[in-house]
Amino acid sequence: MPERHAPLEIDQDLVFQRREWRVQRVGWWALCLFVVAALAGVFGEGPISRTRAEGTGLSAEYDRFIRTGRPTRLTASWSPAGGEASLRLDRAYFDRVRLEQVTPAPLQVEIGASDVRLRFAAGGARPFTVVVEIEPLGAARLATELRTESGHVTRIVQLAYF
Amino acid sequence: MDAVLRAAAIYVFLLLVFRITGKRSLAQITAFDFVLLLIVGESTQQALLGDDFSVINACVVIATLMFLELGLAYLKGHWPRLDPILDSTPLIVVEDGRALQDRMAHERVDVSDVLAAARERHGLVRLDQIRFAVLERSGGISIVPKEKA
Repeated sequence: MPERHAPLEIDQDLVFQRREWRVQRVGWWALCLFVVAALAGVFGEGPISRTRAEGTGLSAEYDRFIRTGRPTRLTASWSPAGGEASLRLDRAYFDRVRLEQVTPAPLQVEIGASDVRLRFAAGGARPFTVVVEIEPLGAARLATELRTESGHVTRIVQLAYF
Repeated sequence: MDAVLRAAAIYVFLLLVFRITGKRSLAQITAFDFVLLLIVGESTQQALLGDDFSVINACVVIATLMFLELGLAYLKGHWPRLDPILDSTPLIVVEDGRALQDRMAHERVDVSDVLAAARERHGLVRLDQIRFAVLERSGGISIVPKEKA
């Protein structure tokens, strides 16, 4: 209970104050953990965030944790059989991100009802690597299967922060 | 909707951070504290507005912040127990010229802070001239000289 400390008319409450100090100490550790988690990449761009998914004949490197308004790179590597390669992403994933840049530039982008297909000329070195730069449009759990022209598949899951 | 959620998230986060860091975090004790507050303002600006620099977005953000502020004031009026939780309580740190070291240490206030406040507002030069020094909820230190109490 607040105590009136004569002659001062202030509501000093030492019991509450001590409780506040205890909560603040816990809060300092929480703040410290928050910063350490940020350094580790829990909020994107760090060692915990960057990961690799190995599928059948297709590997992908991407960030688990991404942020709205901040572009992130998804790198897919595989060995196409012929001179042409294609990479498919789920349409549901594509609708929740902004495709910023694709390297190498695709020959064609086909937007289908269930997936988006990026077609490339794949002459030259193997494995063939595609870098897709995307930016999430809002907070969401984003998941897609990456599929190639020869049926290689891998799955990625990302958490986009607001 | 996006702007409202952004403003609400930043409001709640700032409220939590400043409650955690204590009364003195907003007191602008040194020039660097003032610069730090400016940087905090600058960092939140981008998150509040996102990539929408329209006038209506700014209006929505301001209206949301003001609504939250009014809402909390209303809640504090109705539930007085919420008042200390959100704004803390004043704390006596000097009584009859005696510094209450335990309280001062918890609040990261030292005798020189109290003496600075005493000099600035009352022209006092020694601790024993102070009847009460109170660390207010705002983080400022108010001084009651001995002869006035």
